[in-house]
Formats: sequence, C-alpha cells, structure tokens
Amino acid sequence: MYYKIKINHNRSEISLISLNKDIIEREMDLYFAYFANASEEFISKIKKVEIVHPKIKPIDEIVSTALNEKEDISSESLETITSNDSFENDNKKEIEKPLKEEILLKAQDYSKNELFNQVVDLRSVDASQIKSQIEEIKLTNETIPKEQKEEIKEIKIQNEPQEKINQNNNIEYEDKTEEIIKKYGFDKKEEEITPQYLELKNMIKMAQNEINSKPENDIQEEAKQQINTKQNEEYANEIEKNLLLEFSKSDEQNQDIKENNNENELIEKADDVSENQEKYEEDYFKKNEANDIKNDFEETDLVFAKYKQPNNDENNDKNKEVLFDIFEKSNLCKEMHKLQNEEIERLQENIDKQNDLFNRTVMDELNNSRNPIIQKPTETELKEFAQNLDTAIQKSINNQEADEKNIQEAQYNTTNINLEETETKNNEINENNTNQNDDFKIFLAMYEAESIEDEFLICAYYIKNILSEQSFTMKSINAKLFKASGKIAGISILENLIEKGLIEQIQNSDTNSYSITQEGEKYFENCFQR
Amino acid sequence: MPQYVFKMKKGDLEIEFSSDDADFVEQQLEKWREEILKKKVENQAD
Repeated sequence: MYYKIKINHNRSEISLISLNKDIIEREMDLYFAYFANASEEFISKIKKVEIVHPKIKPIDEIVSTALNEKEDISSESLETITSNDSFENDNKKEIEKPLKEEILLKAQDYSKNELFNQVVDLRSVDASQIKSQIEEIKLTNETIPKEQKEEIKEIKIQNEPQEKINQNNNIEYEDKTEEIIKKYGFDKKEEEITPQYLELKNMIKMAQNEINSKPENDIQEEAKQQINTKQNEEYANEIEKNLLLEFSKSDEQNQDIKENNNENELIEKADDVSENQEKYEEDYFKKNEANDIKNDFEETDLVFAKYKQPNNDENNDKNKEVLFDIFEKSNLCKEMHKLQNEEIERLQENIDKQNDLFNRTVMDELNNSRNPIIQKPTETELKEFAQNLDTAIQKSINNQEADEKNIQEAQYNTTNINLEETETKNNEINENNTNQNDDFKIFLAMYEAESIEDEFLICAYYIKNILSEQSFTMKSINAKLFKASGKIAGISILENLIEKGLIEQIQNSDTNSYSITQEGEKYFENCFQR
Repeated sequence: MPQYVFKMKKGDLEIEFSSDDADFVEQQLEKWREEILKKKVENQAD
C-alpha cells in the first residue's frame, strides 16, 4: 500500500509520499484545509517542498534526479527550495544557496551508509541541524583521506563524555591483567613453565572464550536468574514447612473426630440434615410465593390509594379525570372483547353444525356414489328371496306356456285380435320384469362383487341359469344392472370378459347377443360364493 | 494492483491524491465531500 498527496500551484507544489497510513492521514487533513481555504496569501507561501519515503523511491534515483536537476535548476528555482517560512528572512539567504548541494551530499551519504529509514521532512529541518549534518557528511565523505578519517574518529571518541560509555556498558570491569600475570607467572620464561601453569593457562583461556562468546547482558541475566532461583527455593522451602505443619495439625483433628463419632451416627445426621433442608426449601418457596402475591396486592393498593386520596390541587383533579376516562375506556374494551368472544363462539358452533351436516349428507352421498353400500341381506330376506325365486320361476314357466298358447291362438285366430287382452298381458309382463329386477338386486347382494366386471358376470349367470334365457344383449343386461346397482357396463368390459373366455358371442343370431360360458359359470361358482 | 488517482481544481490550485488502498481512498473522499458541502451551505447562508 502506498499513499501520495500533492498540492500544485503553477510550478510550486507540496507532495507527500509514504507507506505509513497514519502519517498520510494526519497530513491529508492539513493539505485539504489549505486547498479548501486557499487564499492568495497561502498560495504565495507555497514552496517546492518534497517529502519522500525512501522505501518507495530508492535513494539512488533521488540522487540521480537531483544531480540532473542541479544542472537544469536556475538560481531562481534554488531559492524556492525552502521550508515554509520556518525561519527568518535574514537567515534564509545564508542557507538557501548551499542547501541544494547539502541535500545532495546528504542523499549520497544515506545511499552509501543505508541510514535512510526515516521520512525526510524538509519542512521541519532546522538551519542549525543542517549545518551539523553537513559537517558530519564532510567528515565521512570519500574525498577525505583515510588517515584523516581515523584521526577524526579518535578525536570524536576522546571528546565523547565518559558517562555515555558507562551507560552503554552497564558494568565496569577493572583492568587486572597485570596482577593476574604476576600471580600465575605468565611473565616467566618458557624454560620455567610448569604443568600447573599450563593447566591454569588453559582454564583461563576457556573462561575467556566463554565470556567472549556470551554477551555481557546474558551473563548478567544468568546471574540474576541464579539469584532469583535461590531466593525462590528458600521461599518454597519455607512454604513447604508451613504446609507440613498445617497438614499434621489437620490430621490430628481428623483422628479425634473419628474416635468420637461413629459412621452410623454421621449417616443419620446427614439424613436428618437432608430432610430438614427439603422442608426448608419447601417453606422457602411458599414464603416467596406468598411474598410475591403480597407485593402485587400492595402495589395495586398503592396505585388505587393514590387516586382515591382527596386532593385539592388542580393537577390531581385533571389526573383523576384522565384516569377515570382510561378506566371507562378499559371497561368498554373489556365488554367489546367479551362480545367478540361470544360472537366467535357462536360462529364456531355454526361452523361445526355446518361441518356435521356436510359430513352427514354430502360426503355420505359422495361415498355412496363412488362405492355404493350394499347391505347384507338378513335370514328372513333370504327366505323371502327363495320363495320369490320359486314363484318367479313358476310364473315364468306359466308365462311361457301362456305365450305359447297365445301364439297358437293368434295363429288360428289372426283376425280376432283383442287389444284389451294384449294390454293386460303386457302389463302382466312388465310386472314380471319389475319383480325380476328386484330379484336380481337381492341375488346380486348375495355375492361379493368387487367390480362392474364381476357384477356383469353375475348378471349373465343370473340370466342363463335363473331366468333360463340362452342369450342376452347389452341393452337387456345393462337395464338389469342399472336398476340393481345404478351402473352401466361398457363394451370394453364385455371385450375383457370375452378375452378371458368367460363370455362368448352367439354367432347364429341376427343381433349381437352373448351368453356366459361354462368357464364363466365355474368362475362364478368358485369366486363369488360366500 | 488497482491504483486510484483523484484530482481537484480550484482556479490555479490543484490537489491530487493517489493510492492503491481502496478503503482509505473511499474514507478520505467521503470526508472531503462532507467538508465541501458544509462550506457550500455556509456560503449560501452568508
């Protein structure tokens, strides 16, 4: 992330480049304030000042650009490179002219020594600081011979106060080398060297190496740690002693308690305590509930007491009126709420009644239309059906005989046709047909028919075996089925039964007539018998 | 990496702000916008 801000007026500009967000945020407000409140005075004060973070722009580039600019920049532009009137005009002329060269030198020095890790803010540069920096730069410049540089360094070190050295090196060490040399005989010749001397020499070397390998601060820290560990150990020992004493005391006390009390007694006491605790808890909850109720009542009494108290103040009277209005309104609301609840209850009752009616009537009808309920015949009905069957068979036989006789009579007496007799006969035939339909309804109820195919087959069996008719048409069978069960069989049902081989078509007849096959009869006897 | 450059002019005076930090640019421009609006209201009131 980088941030750059620049104010520009003709050739004069202020620019700031940085990687630090905080610096740029602080400066931006100032810059915008300059911009927003720009007056002629302010514009006249703007000088060419460049503030550059070296991490963004390498110092070598700054140096190279500055060197190029040095040739191009006129004396007028040099004058503009100043800080914002931070110092007086008298000092200005002295500093402004060499300032460009000084900056270049400073930049060179930074580029060589890599000491440019700070933002170079030229606005805050003071004249005295610049002078001192120039002196330093001159001293460290390559143009100075090496011998002179070393002399300068020595002079610098000599001039530095002794306190600073002591501050940097926290511990002072006395020079005891001469004493040690004399003590251990390091000043003796090689001939006089003993093995003890060699051992000592080695030991000293080892010690010196150890000291040199570790920084002084580490040695100090180690010493401190050793001291601290000793102190901690002593403190820990004291604590252990105190703890042991306390433990011994507590053990003695426990032994005394065990001797005096048996375990059973302790258990009984514990039970008693638990019972008492439960009772106490119950009482406590009861008391709390009672207190809550009391508090509620007290609060309500206090509220009412406030409004019941007779006060002559006008404010209180007004408050009373307002409160009474509120009470009246609340009562009205309560009444309205009651009425609404009553209406809701009435409506709910009506809805329940309507639902019951709907379930009784409409849903029953729908169920009946989908799956007609066939009541099982009772024993008396079955007996009646058997008698009716006998009578019906006898009637059909009589009718057939009568018909045959009538036909014979008609053949002989074609001229003498009595319309009245035929009408009466037709009526009789119709009556017989109605009886037959009722009989078929009862006959159908005797068997378990799951589908219209089954009913069709039962009807075909009924026509052949009970009515003793050899064939039937779709019209005749549908007339029976419709009257008995309210259903009509389609041609698809007939075709299915023909495919199964339960019904066959009679080919000799002119009209499309059908009859039940032997397989159909067997199927009827096996499947539909209860 | 996107780079945002904003430049405002007031007569001969010019202010330029450039950065690749989108959030910071957004915050700063909002701040400037509010200040400009305040100035406008103040001038109208005068």
